[in-house]
Amino acid sequence: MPRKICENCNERAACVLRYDRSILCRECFCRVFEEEVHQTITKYELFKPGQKVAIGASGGKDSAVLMQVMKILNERYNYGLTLYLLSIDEGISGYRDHSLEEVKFHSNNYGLELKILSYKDLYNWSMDEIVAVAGRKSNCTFCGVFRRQALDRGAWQLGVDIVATGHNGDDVAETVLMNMLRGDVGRLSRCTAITTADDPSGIPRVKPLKYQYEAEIVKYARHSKVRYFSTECTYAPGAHRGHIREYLRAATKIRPHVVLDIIKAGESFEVKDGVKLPIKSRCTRCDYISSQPVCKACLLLEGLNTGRPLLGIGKTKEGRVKKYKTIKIESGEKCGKTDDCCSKEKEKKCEINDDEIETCGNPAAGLQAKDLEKLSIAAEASDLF
Amino acid sequence: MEVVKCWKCELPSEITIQASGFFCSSCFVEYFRQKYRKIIGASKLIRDRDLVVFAFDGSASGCAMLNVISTFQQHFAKANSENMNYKRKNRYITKALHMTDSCNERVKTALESSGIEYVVFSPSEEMKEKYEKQCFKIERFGDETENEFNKKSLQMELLVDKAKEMNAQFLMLSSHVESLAAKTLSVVSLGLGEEIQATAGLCHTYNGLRILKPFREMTKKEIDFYVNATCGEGILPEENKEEEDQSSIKSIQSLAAKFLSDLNSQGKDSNPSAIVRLSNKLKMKS
Repeated sequence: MPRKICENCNERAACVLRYDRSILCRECFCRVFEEEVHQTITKYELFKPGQKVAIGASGGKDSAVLMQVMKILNERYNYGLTLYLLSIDEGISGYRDHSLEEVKFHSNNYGLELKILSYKDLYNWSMDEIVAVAGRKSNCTFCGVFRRQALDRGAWQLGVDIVATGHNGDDVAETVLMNMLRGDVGRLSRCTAITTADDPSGIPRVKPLKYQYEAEIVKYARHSKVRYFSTECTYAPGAHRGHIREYLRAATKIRPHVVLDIIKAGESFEVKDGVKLPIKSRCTRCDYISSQPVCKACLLLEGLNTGRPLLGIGKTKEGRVKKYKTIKIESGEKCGKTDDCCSKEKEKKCEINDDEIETCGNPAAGLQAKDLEKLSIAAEASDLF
Repeated sequence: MEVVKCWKCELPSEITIQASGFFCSSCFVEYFRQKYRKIIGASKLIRDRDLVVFAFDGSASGCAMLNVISTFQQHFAKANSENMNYKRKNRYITKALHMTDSCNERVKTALESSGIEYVVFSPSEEMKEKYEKQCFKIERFGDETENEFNKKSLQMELLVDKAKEMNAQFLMLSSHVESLAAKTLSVVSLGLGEEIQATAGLCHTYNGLRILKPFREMTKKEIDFYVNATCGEGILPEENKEEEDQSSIKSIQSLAAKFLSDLNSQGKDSNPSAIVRLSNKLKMKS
């Protein structure tokens, strides 16, 4: 069976099947990928000459590919940009520590200045410590909220004009579907924007890879020999986004254009006049942008430091994590699960009262209100705000 | 274990409605009918003596709507015959419309027993060809998803045309919240953001006719319970066939319905009503 020839150059053997079913050789695919990103950058005017751009670098495939593509395009088309790398260390052992090694490699390889900020330094909590007290159900909320602020602070410290993140088409499509499932109109109207320009520090963020498929980013990384850390976050399993990701993967098999179609549908929405949306104001504690008097990050931190790790998450107002213990059922006693006693059950769950809860061992838990002063992180960085 | 009682009477509850409470069978039937009436009344769309054509498809929600409409028609007829002085002016006329290639006995029985004037029609091949050319279609990849979408589009075109021929002001559909949520998700997955209002809104205009979906806030659970409580055995629709394996699903529409159904059954964070209510808050960018 004769080998297929690249549909672009008609010379070399094809080895890459794209989402639109076209087949290209390695060189043409990499070139086409870079050109598509370049078209996105020029069409939406993401950068201006002379700007300083911080690339959010996690060490994963998206940011690694973004670093390489930005470097190549900056030189090829004379964007005139000064590139930096900005990394956030969430403190997830076995995951983030390894991925940061990749970021350091890229920093040396491309000759780009690297800044790393850690949750421990900023908030006095690492993600491992947070998950230990809050459980694994809402850990993505903590991580996402804290990382957003951390990126802004890092960008300020670097003195850059724009932050570029590696969010790809699949990420944007998943976000559209997530916001639809939750009926979150405010986020739905904003989540497809390629540039966000409403940060309090005045540093907008852009997504140059917005129209690139995640699978194509992986292919580009492989064919361009880009090093990246490929392990999934330790705390990712069970996240709500995982279900939507499964739907999107199944939908892409049925109809490959579905990712771009969802993005297109999301871009066509706007909120009707008269619909009540949260009003942007500033946090009374750290001055970060917030729709509430106290921003989410400060609320979550307060919860962590006062032994109420679920404060600001879900419906539990007190913010306490419910803990259960399993006790044996005495013979003849009903398990309480059904009307009829199911004698097969040997154990039942009972909620532990507050006075029975053992301490989690975290020295930061149960801090008094006066200690919260130490947590006004933004006050320390008086040069930031 | 303590028996939960109906919120309205003291009988044991037979159904639990999220956010609305516990009901026995007869109180739930009354609640369901009043909810339908409230949706129609609050919309202030239908005026006195308007003709509303209800597209009956033989499904459970179709049988439920047929029963509700027939109950209100009898109510109006009784009020008229007794010359009761009703302040409420919303006495619209409803006719049922069933489109099929071959009408089965169950559907005929349902229509006849409802007491509502009905029309059964089978569109000819020429008619189908004619409308296939003018209805809204997607023809990008020629896959199963597009075929299913185009088929539904043609059905809607034929129903609207027949309803206009009957001089109707409204065409009523019996889609419930789960089916509308799945349709909304599939419409977004096809890139047709502009169709979200038409898919999930209470009322939209199509070819000069207003399409109503008063069951958009009723769940499948409520409809199934209502149908079991009110419809006779000969009218009850057949049970759904077994769930498809994901690998055998060929269209986005089926995948979206399965996805939402799986999320609900696993108790995950999803709310079909939230998806449907989005249509009230969104518009297309100009």
